[in-house]
Amino acid sequence: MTRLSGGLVDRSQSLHFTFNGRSLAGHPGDTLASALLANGVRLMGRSFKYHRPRGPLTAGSEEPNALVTLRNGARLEPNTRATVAELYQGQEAYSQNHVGPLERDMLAINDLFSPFFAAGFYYKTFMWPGMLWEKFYEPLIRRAAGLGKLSMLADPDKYGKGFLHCDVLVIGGGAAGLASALTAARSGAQVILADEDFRLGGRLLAESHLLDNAPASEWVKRVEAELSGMANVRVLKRTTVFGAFDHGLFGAVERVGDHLPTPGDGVRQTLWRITAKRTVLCSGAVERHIPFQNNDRPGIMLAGAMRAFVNRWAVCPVQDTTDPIAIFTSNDDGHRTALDLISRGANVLGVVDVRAEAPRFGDYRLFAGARVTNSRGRLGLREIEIATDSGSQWHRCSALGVAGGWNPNVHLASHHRGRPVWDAEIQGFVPGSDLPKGMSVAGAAAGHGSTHAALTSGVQAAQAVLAELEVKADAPDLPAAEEAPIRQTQYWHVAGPGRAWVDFQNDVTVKDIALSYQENMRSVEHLKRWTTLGMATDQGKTANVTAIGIMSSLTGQTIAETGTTIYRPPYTGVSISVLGGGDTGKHFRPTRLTPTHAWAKSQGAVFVEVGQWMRAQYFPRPGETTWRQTVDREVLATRAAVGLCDVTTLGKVDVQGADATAFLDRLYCNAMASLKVGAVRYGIMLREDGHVYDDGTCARLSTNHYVVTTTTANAGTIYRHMEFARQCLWPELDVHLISTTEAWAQISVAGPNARRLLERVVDTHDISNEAFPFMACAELTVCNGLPARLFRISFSGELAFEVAVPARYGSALMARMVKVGADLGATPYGTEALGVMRIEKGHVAGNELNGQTTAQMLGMGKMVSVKKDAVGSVMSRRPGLVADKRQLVGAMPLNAQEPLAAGSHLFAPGAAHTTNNDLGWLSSAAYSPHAASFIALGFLEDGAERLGQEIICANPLSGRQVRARVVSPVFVDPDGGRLRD
Amino acid sequence: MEDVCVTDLVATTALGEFVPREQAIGQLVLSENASVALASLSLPMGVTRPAPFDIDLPGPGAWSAAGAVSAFWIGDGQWIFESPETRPCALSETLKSAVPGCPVTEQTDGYVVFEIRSQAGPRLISDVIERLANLDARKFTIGSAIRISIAHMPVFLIRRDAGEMKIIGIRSMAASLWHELTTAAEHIRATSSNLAGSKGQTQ
Repeated sequence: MTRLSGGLVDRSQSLHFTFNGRSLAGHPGDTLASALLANGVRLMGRSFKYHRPRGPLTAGSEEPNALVTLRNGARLEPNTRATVAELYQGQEAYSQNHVGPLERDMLAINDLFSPFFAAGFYYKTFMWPGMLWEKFYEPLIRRAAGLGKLSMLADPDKYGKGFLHCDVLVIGGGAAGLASALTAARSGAQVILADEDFRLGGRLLAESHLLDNAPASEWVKRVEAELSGMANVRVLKRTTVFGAFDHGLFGAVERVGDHLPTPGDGVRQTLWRITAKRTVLCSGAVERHIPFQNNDRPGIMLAGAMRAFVNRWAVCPVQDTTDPIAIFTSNDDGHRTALDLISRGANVLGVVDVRAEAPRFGDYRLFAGARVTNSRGRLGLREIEIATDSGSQWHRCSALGVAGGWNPNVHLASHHRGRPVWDAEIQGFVPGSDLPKGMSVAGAAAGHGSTHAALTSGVQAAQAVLAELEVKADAPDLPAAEEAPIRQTQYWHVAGPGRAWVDFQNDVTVKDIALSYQENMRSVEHLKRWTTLGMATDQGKTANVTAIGIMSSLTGQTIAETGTTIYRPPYTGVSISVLGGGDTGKHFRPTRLTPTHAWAKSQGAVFVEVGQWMRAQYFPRPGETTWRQTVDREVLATRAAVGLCDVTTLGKVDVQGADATAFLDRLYCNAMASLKVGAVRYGIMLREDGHVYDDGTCARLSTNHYVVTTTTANAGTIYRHMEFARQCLWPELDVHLISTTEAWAQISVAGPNARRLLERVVDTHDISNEAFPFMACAELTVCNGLPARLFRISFSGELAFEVAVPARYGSALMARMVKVGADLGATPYGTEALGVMRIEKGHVAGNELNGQTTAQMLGMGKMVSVKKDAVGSVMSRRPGLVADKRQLVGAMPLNAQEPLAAGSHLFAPGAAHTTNNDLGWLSSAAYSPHAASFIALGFLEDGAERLGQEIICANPLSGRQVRARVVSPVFVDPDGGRLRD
Repeated sequence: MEDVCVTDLVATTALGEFVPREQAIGQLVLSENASVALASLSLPMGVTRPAPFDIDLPGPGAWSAAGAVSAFWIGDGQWIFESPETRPCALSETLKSAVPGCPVTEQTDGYVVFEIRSQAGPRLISDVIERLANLDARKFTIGSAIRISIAHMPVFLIRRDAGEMKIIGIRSMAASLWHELTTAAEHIRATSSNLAGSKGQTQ
């Protein structure tokens, strides 16, 4: 064990966990990485390409190496960073990306073939022969890609979603973030403080600096207590703000239950969409390393991470505390690690500083003007080679902290394409002026790396954004803190033979960058694609700037000239489950149920999705083995007796007002002004371009009161169209619209016995043919006083009515009519029979009103009135539309039992099936039990002149062709005698 | 309308049941109120704003009540009235009489009315709002009404009381909306239990 004294772990409790089946123990407050290191485990995984042994490089979310799989079964969670995975009792962790034991990975042989996997490997290797790409190369690459494996089981956990609003969002709970949040909170502003860690404090917890001569954690504790007690503050720990989106919206994931053995009934993660008036980004900085030969062995980590393990988690990253530890640095900050190690009793070999004039901060061996040039150790660091101007020497060394400088964490500042700018003073990119609107940056993220500077800039940033909101904020008393100057030299890598890793996760080395340079892939964006640098789960957080530095040294350009890539959301990986907000399966989108849904379900109906609606498709009866049997029975029963169908889904718009008549006359292309009270008229609305928008009925209930119906599919769009016309085209008209689609359950009663059935439920109204003829409507009562509306309209071509009652009575009315109409043959039917009957009658529906057809094509050209203007009327008469010769026709196969397919294209017999010969298409097809044949509707050039001719219906998808005869589109009752009774 | 409706048809709730559903989840009680009548009123051009049932018609984003009847703004010159009433179309008929010449439309069964009550103070109602709608819960004070989307479903939210919120949604979407409401309530309960469960895990 290499656990030191102190630290922020609760030693009063032990948490037992396993790593690759081996039982280990840690404490509350540990991450998996700190607990493993405390147990002497440094080897945690294998690298992506070369399967090199790897241990943690960092102590945070930027970790590229220590990726593990957590949990098992359906909760299997690959590619989890051990450095942020909070330890819990019973945690199961497994290393990944190896074949055989982690220590003896058979795929480590890849390392021997590394010359073949150099930059541009994919692009060079898989170019030829082309025929191998799809069947061989791509599957091969896909198999090799990725690190962990998915369980391929459905995620069993629950995920939440929600919305938060605030005046100031503070991202990051380190020194700057806490100071900023405290300033804003005390001003009374609504504040959200979000931090990805399970403990506030950021780097304050990782350093040994005192605040007001006390451990920094005490100040953090006091501030957290104050913030948590304020009603205007919300502290979100374990919450990663992963993206800055438009309009001040930030995406954040709160890991509510990831730190528990199982979330159980609880929520695992919550997706928060945070709307913030202002944001203070206090995301800190990420340390960079210095590539040297074989710099990727377990035991070599960033010097700042080493401090974090020592100070926060009280873990010395060596097998034994007497094992020597060295520091390799290009700046003063690296020396801090040595001092902290010494103060905790570690054996420090010395500090290797590339600067010839390196300062000394304590009693340790200083290698000034020196470099670490190589390392040894099969599964972990054993020796390092230190080179000076006078030569090189190998030293026993079990851990090495590398300090190459700090990169401000500018990720979120770039999400609106903000481009970071190079700051030569701190040797890092800082956020530019093109930040997301309302964002301010403070602390190390803005280049203010000392604790004092971070605290101060946090306060100032909060004051500045609050001033924009006209809120005065006083600066809180800040604790006295260190204010060491940032002193470092520009030093990107140790030149020399062998491979020096730049991007650990993608196994990109200095040689790869040099090769990219040689092959003219020199722009930062090309470099990224050619080498895969900066890709994968860590997105190059520890690699990008170093790579840019190396490329700039190769090109001779400055860093500023070389430029940088920018960042896109998400900052760290976000699970698809949480992005889905928990709405999966049937809850993926809302569904709409008809008023008779419960009744239909009780009758064994089979349902079909119609947009959001679930409609009864057909009502199978015992003995019926195919849907066709059921549908044929429903059609025949309706035509022979009476059928009942819920047609509530058709849109209904209530139109009232003194100018309602004029309004409708301008919307419908056919005349509506002449419609009498108590009558219904079929109407067509056109789009502005002259094509048919929708059809439906318009019922005039009183002088200034109409009910307009639309097709189910266009209920929303037609209502919007009508509102647009009311508000924007003719605001001078006194007309009032409101949807009543849902308010009324509407049931179609169709068939020769329809009237007899209705007479049994209508209270007193005379619905005889004389008193209530075809296209009549009335407000009346049914079933002893229930308000209802009755329309005599027919979609099936039979004597038919539609009766509407308040929706809550829909099921009861349907059940009542089925019951009282039993002796009349009352038969419920679904959308399938509805469709068959309307095709038999030649009535158009959504298939024909597809946005590409005109009234003329539908055989209703004369409905477009020339005596008045209406939306689309003029445009419908333009030559291009008038010249279209395609007309609605019917089609019957020569072999009545040969199915026709909607979508088939129409060709003259013998003509080649080419676009030039295309005469039209079939829009709807069905089997007609009435005609005892398959039938179809379609659009055919000069259709009226081709009646009786043979046509070929070709279905290029299935390769089928059907010979058919062109017939009238009306297969049933062409003179309309049935519906007029 | 005269009270002549003695129909023997049995109404079903928007959730397709005969008794309004009620469910307690943690400290929240969710229920369907099937005894609310709704009717919309539009103001014709040039008509002085009336005050039916002595209600001062509210402006955008607002709800107001007088006795048992209340109204909320839904658009320019448009309001929906609500009152405790189970007789079909009764409120719309009464409203027509109260505002002669103004377009009134029966809306009772166009919607489903759900109510959420907190047994632990207004904070829980804010928690519910946060889980459901992109709305600043702190500004959604008593007397507020808003048309907003919950999980792609259009709804009206009404705050009549600090510890209660009314959700008026599309009737056909009642089942999906109920699912969203109960899920939100369960998540609030679960989140508190998760947080309780994490005690001892961290300091």
